[in-house]
Amino acid sequence: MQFSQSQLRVSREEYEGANEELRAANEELQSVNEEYRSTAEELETSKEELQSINEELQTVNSELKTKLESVSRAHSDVQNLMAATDVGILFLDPRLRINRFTPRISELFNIVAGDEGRSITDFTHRLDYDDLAADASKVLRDLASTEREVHGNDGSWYLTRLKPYRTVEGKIDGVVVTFVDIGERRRAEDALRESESRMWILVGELQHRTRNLIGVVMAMVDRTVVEGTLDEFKASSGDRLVALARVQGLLSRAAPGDSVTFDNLLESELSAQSEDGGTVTFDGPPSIVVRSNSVQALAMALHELTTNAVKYGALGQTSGRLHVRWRVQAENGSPWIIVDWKESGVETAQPNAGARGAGNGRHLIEDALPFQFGARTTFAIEPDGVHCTIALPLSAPSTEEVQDGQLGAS
Amino acid sequence: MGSSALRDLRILVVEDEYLIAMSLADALQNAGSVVVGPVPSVDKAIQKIELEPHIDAAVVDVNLGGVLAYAVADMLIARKIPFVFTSGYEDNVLRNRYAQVKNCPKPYLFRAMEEALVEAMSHS
Repeated sequence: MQFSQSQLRVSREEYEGANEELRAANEELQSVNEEYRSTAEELETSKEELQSINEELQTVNSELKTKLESVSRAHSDVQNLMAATDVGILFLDPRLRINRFTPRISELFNIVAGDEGRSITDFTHRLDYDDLAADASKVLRDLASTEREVHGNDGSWYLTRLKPYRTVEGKIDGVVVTFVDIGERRRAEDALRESESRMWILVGELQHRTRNLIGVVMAMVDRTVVEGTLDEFKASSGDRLVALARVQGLLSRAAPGDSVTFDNLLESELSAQSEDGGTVTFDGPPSIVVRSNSVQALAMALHELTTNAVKYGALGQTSGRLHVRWRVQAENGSPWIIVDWKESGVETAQPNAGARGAGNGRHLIEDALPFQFGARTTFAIEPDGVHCTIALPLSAPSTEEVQDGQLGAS
Repeated sequence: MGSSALRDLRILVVEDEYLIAMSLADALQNAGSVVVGPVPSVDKAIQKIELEPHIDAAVVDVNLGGVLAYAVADMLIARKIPFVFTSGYEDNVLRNRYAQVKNCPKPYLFRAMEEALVEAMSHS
């Protein structure tokens, strides 16, 4: 019994011991279990974080893709711009080596594709611009752009502009040089300046001429008054004024650099007056330029001859003939025009034949032309009509010629 | 016509336009002056001034057949001969170099020319 009892005690102790162990093991398991649970929770959190990071990465990735596309688009835009532009553009790095250039640059500098990386100072160019490298260095130093108009050695003009090359971050990384062709503008400016100064000369000449012309008209009226009756005065002064006006028309219609020619004058005078009769023949070279200074006086002389011929001579009678010959000949090395006005077949027995050639008209030929131009003239009334010769110098005086003789009748 | 202040004076006319020259010469003669010339060019004017022993005054057209008459003006000034310009316009040379010389602009009436000549002679 006692044995049994001690055995039972032992067993109970063992049981209790085992129970104790079991409890301890159970507690451990419980704690392990808790650790597992917390780890599982941490894992869950991590997983969520990873997922969100993944999403962010995806967004960033697609943004990058868009940016890359636009960068490549911009790059191809730049390439097309460079190829298409008519403006010469040259990109230099801070040591003035060529980075990039447009096709126009190859026309100005002896640069070809493949020269990128070489210094711009190694190349010759077709511009009158030796300071290019110095200007570029100055732009790099001062960070201020410069501009100047330079001309090419073929007469072309370029507006040249140098600006610092700034990166997107604002860093200076070289120089941009542009060449804009302004030849057209320069030419237009030059032409404008020239035509303006020409206009002022013409305005001055015109003023001079107008005042002079009024002086001539006043003197002509003075002298016409002496010639005869008031009716005759009215007729001949009117005639002469119309002839003067006709010459002014010829002079002002002559294009710049152009001049009035002798056949112009002769035709204008003869066609202005009615020709009831008479045959007119011409014999002389065309396009002989008459000095603008002598145009007016020569025209008035031709006017008087024509008027007389219509009133009393070859142009007033059907039987009459007028033969005008002219030629150019050299005298002491300068050209003279020799005019021969010959009327024939004229009935000189007319009662008023005695009046012909008198007064102003004859003076203009016999006195005015020799006085004013050193001309030699003859005027004769021959049995069958008037015979008049005029030898007039064609060349301008040698010294101190008034600028632009175009309107320079004096 | 004897009352003119120009009576018996010897007046040189330098004018290339025949009708104007004759008209002025006639008017001067009517005023009792003795006309020297008229001459139409710079060369002939210079010749005349050199040859003529006595000239009281002169009328000088500025533009003589396209040649400016400054050489004539300089010669007259050097010889202290009073004169009047006639010109359709005044250029800078006229205004500056010959500021003292009166210009009687064309067209002019003889009365105005007479006054200008008298004034020019009163200054000399």
